[in-house]
Order: sequence, then structure tokens, then C-alpha cells
Amino acid sequence: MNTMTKKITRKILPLLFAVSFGFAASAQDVTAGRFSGSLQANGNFFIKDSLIGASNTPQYENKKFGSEAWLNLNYNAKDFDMGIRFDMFNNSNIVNPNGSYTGQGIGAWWIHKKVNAFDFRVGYIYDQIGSGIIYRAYEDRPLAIDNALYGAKMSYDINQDWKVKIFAGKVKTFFTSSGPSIKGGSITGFITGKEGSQWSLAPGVGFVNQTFDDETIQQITANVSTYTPADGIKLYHNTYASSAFNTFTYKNFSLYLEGAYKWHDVYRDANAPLTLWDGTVTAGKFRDNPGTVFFGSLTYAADKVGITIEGKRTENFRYRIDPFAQGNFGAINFIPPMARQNTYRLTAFYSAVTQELSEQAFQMDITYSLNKKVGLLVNGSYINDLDGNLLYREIYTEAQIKPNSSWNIIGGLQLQNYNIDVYLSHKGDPNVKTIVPYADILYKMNKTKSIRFEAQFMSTQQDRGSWAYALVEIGLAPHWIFTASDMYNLASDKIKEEKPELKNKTHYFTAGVVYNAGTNRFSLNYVKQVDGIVCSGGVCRYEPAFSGVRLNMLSNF
Amino acid sequence: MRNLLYLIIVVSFFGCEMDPINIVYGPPSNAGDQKVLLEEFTGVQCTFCPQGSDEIASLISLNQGNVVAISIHAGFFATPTPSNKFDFRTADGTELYDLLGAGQFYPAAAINRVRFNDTPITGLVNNQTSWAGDIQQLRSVPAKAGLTVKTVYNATNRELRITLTGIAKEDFNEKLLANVMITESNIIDWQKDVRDPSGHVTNYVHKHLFRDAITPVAGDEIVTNPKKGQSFSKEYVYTVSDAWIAENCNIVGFITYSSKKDIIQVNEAKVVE
Repeated sequence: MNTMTKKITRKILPLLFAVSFGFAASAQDVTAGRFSGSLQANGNFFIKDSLIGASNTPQYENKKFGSEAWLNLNYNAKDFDMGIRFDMFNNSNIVNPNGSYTGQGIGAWWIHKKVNAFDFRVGYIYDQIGSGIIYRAYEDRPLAIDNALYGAKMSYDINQDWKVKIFAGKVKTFFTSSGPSIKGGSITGFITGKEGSQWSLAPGVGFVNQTFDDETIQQITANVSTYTPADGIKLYHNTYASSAFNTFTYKNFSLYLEGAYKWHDVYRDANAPLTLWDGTVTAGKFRDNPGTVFFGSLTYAADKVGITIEGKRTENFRYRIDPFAQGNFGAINFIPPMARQNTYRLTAFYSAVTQELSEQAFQMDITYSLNKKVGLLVNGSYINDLDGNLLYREIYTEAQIKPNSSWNIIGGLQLQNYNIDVYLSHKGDPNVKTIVPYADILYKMNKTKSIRFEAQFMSTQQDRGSWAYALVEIGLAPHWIFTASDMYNLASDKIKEEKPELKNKTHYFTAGVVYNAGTNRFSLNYVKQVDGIVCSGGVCRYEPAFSGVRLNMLSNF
Repeated sequence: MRNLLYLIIVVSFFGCEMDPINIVYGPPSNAGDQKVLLEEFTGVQCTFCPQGSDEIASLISLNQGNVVAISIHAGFFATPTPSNKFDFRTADGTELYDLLGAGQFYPAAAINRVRFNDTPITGLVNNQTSWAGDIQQLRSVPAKAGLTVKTVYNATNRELRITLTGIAKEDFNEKLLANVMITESNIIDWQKDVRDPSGHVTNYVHKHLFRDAITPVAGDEIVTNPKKGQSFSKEYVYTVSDAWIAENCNIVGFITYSSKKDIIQVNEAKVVE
């Protein structure tokens, strides 16, 4: 248990419970409070399988078992709520898919009170400004992201339509918090015409200020001072980002626009050339170029038709509380993805990770309901870097047919062109062009019994070649779900010649059972999973192959 | 709207230019007596690692030999491909990977096993971008101990006698541990390389390759509570594998605390002087 956790355990917990019971006692006269909570627990048993690359990590070689758990307890009463969360990582590979991390303690706590127009919140705070481009504190457990603000937030309702908020604190990093501190705020409003008016505006501006602590300044200086002056940067104690955003709504149309600017920030560019003092040119250095993001989303929604068109341009907008932070860790912000977040196994196989330093992209999504039984969807993504190089193209189509209450049939086709050099660092490999037909058929035999069948086929002549995937799921409501699936590699002889390791890597079989009991859900799965990009909420990371048994439990109370 | 205007004006003031922090650029200073061990985690499937290897060569050169490198092939990226002649992974290398908490981003290296302000919570290894600065920080502090590594090699039976001799430059109130490792350079094998248009190099020259830990990976006691000026030494006898070219091998010796992983001093010597 680290010092901070001990301090929290000794000082904060008694305070929380004292406040909780004190308030509960006094509140009984006014309104009854309510406790609620949730428990999520994962257990992974690792079974080494060198053939699929599930080896050479501490879990496969000696740890064998890893687990995570989050226990959340909330108390809510009128205009008041508070909560505490215990986090545990035990030989976990969720933090680093190639490594083992152990740590446990108070992961979060918070107290929130609303007093008339004022709203106060202290502790660990999740929040965002606009769409999150300059600031977003959120939790995404599958990717081990939890960048809550550890500090205080206050908001004030200026009037019914305008609101201002300010916050300050540090950024949570597991059981510690960042050295640099952060503060910011926003003002948001709502403007509309007279009663019955069909238009409205929801404007806002926000800003974020980051102050490097002395240790971070010293660390950056120590690194940058080894550069030649040609690669030098301007380093400031304070960095800033601001954004302006607005949602304009008129009848069935809605237009969201946001522009963001970041300056004085130091960020790492892993591909930027760095010339050392002896003339050696290597890659990866700190830069201080200003960053910009422009994002727009136009939506049209009618009875049968829904259309969304989005555009985004990103330049030098890697934004971290600590410029040394790796991967997704230490992120201050969230840049909206411009590719569809696919869910089927093979349509999600090649995912376009948001590029923070150079990206310009468009996305269009059209849904159309022919009638109550048939719905259609078409989605297109177009992503380049700022030099015009192709990063990603996707056309995704889907038809959903519900001929009666027993049948639900989903099918479609996905076409992709994926720059594997940029997204997966497969230097020299050609872009991956895929064609993926897929089907998802659900048949309900009666109110309790159902069977679902998924089939997908990915046709490609690049990377690891074609794949087939099939899944069968039997539902015995209200308690049981049984699943079995297999992913099968169909690489051509030519690809196997180039990548002989594929000759023995064919089947990725998975089987499992889910048991639901009220608000509790338990699942047990035997899993063989191919390595690849795993995305959650538009944020992605590379994960190696998995072989083993997964036990998951989710309970709400 | 007036409120909005006020905020825009306030926010615009935040962007006013101030004087940046003065940074003095220059090559590494070589005044100090502290040597630094760079334990790099790498792999034949790591496309960015050859750039890291070049930077290591440069850091050794710029620091005039005061940086000692070990390249450990371990973890996901170290799995050999069918194009490889060799499997550079070792049981001790995997143990080091676990001990030092190698990350998911390669190349990465532990610098004297010190936790810096920028070191990820998951281990003691840092990204390539941090190496030069971390070394600079350690080199600017006087060494707390001196250490020499002597080798005597018998080419006939490949027996190697290694003597570690240290001297405390301040009082220590704990047991100090010795670590001895053997590395080999100039091994040619297939390696992914982001700089090559094909994405790989068939005849890549691997350097400082970790071959074996002669002492236990966790360390071997060499002295307890040494006082300032006290010298200490320990000898190890080792048989060099005939699969390795002794002339290309180096012995890396270092001493650490027993209460923490930080390296106090490091040095190296060729197997065949």
C-alpha cells in the first residue's frame, strides 16, 4: 500500500463514513438516502500456447493467474451524493498486456453537494469539456484507462440557460496522481428563439491550463538538454489549451462544431528524427509545436432516415499530463474517432486508431427504415494523414430484417483499406484490403429458448490472409447463455510462404457460459484469441494473443 | 452572450507569451565517476529497436565508455520468426523482464534500475526518448562506490575467472549485491527494422546481446555494511559456452543495494583482453 493510499485509508475513509452516517441521520427527517454499488471482478488463467504467440510474458511463464476487481459504493440523497471505490490489480495484464502489474487500494472517492445554483464536487472527478478534445476525464476498464481529476470542481448556474464550471487538481495514475497539476473551466449556454421557435444554439468555450511541477521540468530539461540546438524546444512551466464549440439545431438538423488550440505544450513525437551530437540520426523526440483540432458533425434525423456527416482535422494534438506518459496513459483529452466502432469479430479486426499528430478524416453514416421489418445502414470512413497519405477507408453496410417476433436477421458487407504500416508498424507491408460479408441470425423458439448464429468471412490477400469466423449462442432465459466460436485462418500458400508461422496457427477456438441471476452476471470462457488492436470507446491499443480461461463477474446492488 | 465574451477575453490572456525556461544544449559531460548500466529490452520483431540500438551506440560513444549496455531479448517482441537463425531468448532474460517490469512499448530500458520521475508505474524501464536525459542525471552525481571487473580466460577449457573488486566511497548500512552477466556482440541475424523499405534487415548485427546471468538474477551478496574507503571483492568461475565467440563476449558486473533495485556502480571487461 503506497503512502497516498495509506493517507486516504487513515484520514479520508473515516471522514467519508462520518459524513455519510451524519448526513444520513440528519437526512432521515428530510428524505431517505440510498446506498447502491457494483462489483466487477475478472480472473484470467493463462495457458501457454507458443503457436499462437501466447508466451514470453510473466503470466504465461510463471505467474499463471491474474485478476482485477473494482468495488463501488455510492450513497445518494437529495442534492448530495458520495462514493468510494476499491480497485485491485493482482498480477494483472490489463495495465500492460505484455507484463504483470500488482496494486490495490482506494481507486476513487468523491463527495458531491448541490446548494441552490452552486454545485461542488471533490475527490476523484470524471468530466469533460465539449466533445473532450481539450479535456476529458473518464474510466475505460478494458484498456486500464482511468484519468480522473483528483481535485475539486465547482459549477454555478448563472441562470436557467448558462452555466460556468471550474476545476483544479491532478490527474489520477492508478494509486498515485500526476506531478503536474491541471486546472480549467468552461462556460456553456443555451439560446433559442421565442416560444415555438424551431432553432437553438448551445455554445460554449473552455480552457485548460497545465502546470509542470519542478521534477517534471527537471526531467524534461535533462532530456532536451542532450539535444543539439537544432532540435531544441521552448519549454514553459505552463501550457494551455482552449476550445470553442456550438451545437446549432434547426428542425431535424443538428450541427456541432468545435475548434481547439493547444500551445506551449511539450509532447513526444515517436517518429520525429533526432540528430545526436555525433551525427547519429535516431527517431523520437520532444516537440513543442502548437496543436489544433477542428471537428464538425452534421446530423439529420427524421422518421425513417438518419444521416450523420462528420469531419475532423488534427495536427500535433497529443495531450498528456506528463509528456513522458506512454500509450494511452496520462491522457488529458479524448479526440473523437472517425471510423465506425465495429463489434463483430472480423469487422473489428483492423481498427483505425485515432492519430493524434496528423489526421484529416470524414465519416458518413446513413440509416433508413424501409418499414417496421427492414432497416438499412451505410457507413463510410475516409482518413488520411495531413500529407494526404491514405490511412483508412471503410464502407460498411448492414441490413436488419425482423419478419416476425421469432426471427432477427442482420447481414451486410464491409470493405476496408487499412494502412498497416502506420497503425501496426508493419513497415514495408502493403495496405490491407479486406472484404467482409457477415450475418447474425437470432431465432427465438419460445419466450425462454433462443439460438443465435454469427458467421463472418474476411477475404484479403495481405497481412495474415483471409479468416473465417463462426459463433453459436444458445440462450436459456432468464439464466443461461452458452457460446462456442472458432476463428479460422485461411491464408493463401503465398502468404504462408512469406509467413511460415501461419502454417500452424489455424484455429482460435472459444467456448463459454454466462449465468445471469437478477442483477448479477457471471461468465466463464475458454479463450484462444489472436493478437491485434483492441478498441474501447474509440481508444485502442495493441494486445498480444491470449490463451487461457477467463472468469468475469458483475454485480449491481 | 456577454458572459461568453468575458471568458474568451480571459482565456486569451492565458496564451500570452512568457519567457521560456533557459535550456543549455550540449553533449554529455564526462567529468563524473558514476558509470551507468542501460538494460535494454528488445526483440527481433521490434521494428523500432534498431533505432534504439543506434542511440545506445551513440550514448556509449558520447559518454566516453561510461555507459554499459546489455540488450535483453525477452517478451512478446523477442519471439523468433521463421526467418531467424537464432532464438536469443533466455530463461534469465525472461526473469529480468519480470524483475524490471518491461513495458509494452519497445525499445525500453532500465537506466541503473532507478525510478525516475518519468518512469511508468508498471516497472523500471523507460522509453528511448528518456534515455539520454536519465543517463545525464545519473552521471552528474558522484559515484558512491568504485568497481572494477577483471577477467582471466582459458581458451583451452573455456574457463573464465571473473573478479569483481569494489570500494565504498561512503558508508553503507546494508548488504550489497553483486550481479555478473555475459554479453555477446556481432551476431548476425534477421531483424525487423522500420528504416528499411522492406521492414526488415536480413543481416542485422546484434550487439551487447544478453547471454546469461552468471550470478542469480536477484543478485549475490558481496559485502555487508561497508564503510567509506573499505574495499571488497569476489571471484566467480564460469565456463563460456562453445556456441559463443569468446572474443566477442563481455562481462558486465554491477553492485546494487539489497533494500532496493538501484545500481550503485557498474563496469565491464572483455572476456578475452
